[in-house]
Amino acid sequence: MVILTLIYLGEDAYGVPISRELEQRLKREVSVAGVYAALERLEAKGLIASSLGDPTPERGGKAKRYFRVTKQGLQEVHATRQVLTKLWRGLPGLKGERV
Amino acid sequence: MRPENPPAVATWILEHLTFGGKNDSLAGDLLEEFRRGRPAGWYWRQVWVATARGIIKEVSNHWLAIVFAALWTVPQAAFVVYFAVPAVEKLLPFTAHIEWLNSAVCVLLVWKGLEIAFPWAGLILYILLHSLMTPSHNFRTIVRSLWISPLVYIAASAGELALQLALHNLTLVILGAYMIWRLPAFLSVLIGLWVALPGSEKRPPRIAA
Repeated sequence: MVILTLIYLGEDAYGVPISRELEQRLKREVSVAGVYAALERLEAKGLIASSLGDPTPERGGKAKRYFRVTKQGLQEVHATRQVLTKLWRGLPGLKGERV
Repeated sequence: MRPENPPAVATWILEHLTFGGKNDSLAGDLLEEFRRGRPAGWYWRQVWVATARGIIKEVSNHWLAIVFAALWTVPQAAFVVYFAVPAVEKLLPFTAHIEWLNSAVCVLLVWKGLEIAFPWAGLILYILLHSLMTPSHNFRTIVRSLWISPLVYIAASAGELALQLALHNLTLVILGAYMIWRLPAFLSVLIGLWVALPGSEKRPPRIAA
């Protein structure tokens, strides 16, 4: 979900918009530190990469940390999507069920 | 009127008590959100979560050092009884005629020095074993850890003494002495290791705005 959010946000993906987007989708409060923890785990796996912007006075002189999806991350997203689609199609119990 | 800046205490906690070297971006994000209208309660919640996550991360990064520090302090009592006390007793005949060596301050310094030697030995042993497995080490941080460790021991010992004096109940004094006697040595080894062997976090590259 975090990787999809990064793809959706494009070049403006840093802590604040990522957290806001996740809050909107999940409809609950999201911990920014928790989002960073997830992002750091993904970065350690090589699925995303980060870079620091310049410090700005509006943020108390703190730099924004921008995240982007790597080639490996994109491949992982496509692979996961394919697996999920196959699994979803193969679920017999869902055929003809009313929601 | 709404203040422009978030609670100063929360910001201080975020900047000083939250472990990890990448908190600048998080602190900036929280400040940006606060200035966009998030309430102070939200800011406090975010700071507590960041602090808790930092502690969990630090513990998981240094669990081996924590276990080592806890185990190393177990035989400290035996070291004092079977090594430090006999060593001082053997020295007494040679120092009996030197008045200043028998002063209370000097005896206390020698005693504390012998006590500090134990956690120090543990710290050096762990660093040596660690250097055999991981060749890349920062010599400056190791030297820093070797003088910070005794300072931590002295500060923790002073706190321990104050606590024991505050506990008037004899049972509590004995129990407290047993429980917390190991605490200065534990903290001394642990903080020494924490300074000597920091986490291997990479900082992201800086890009132009």
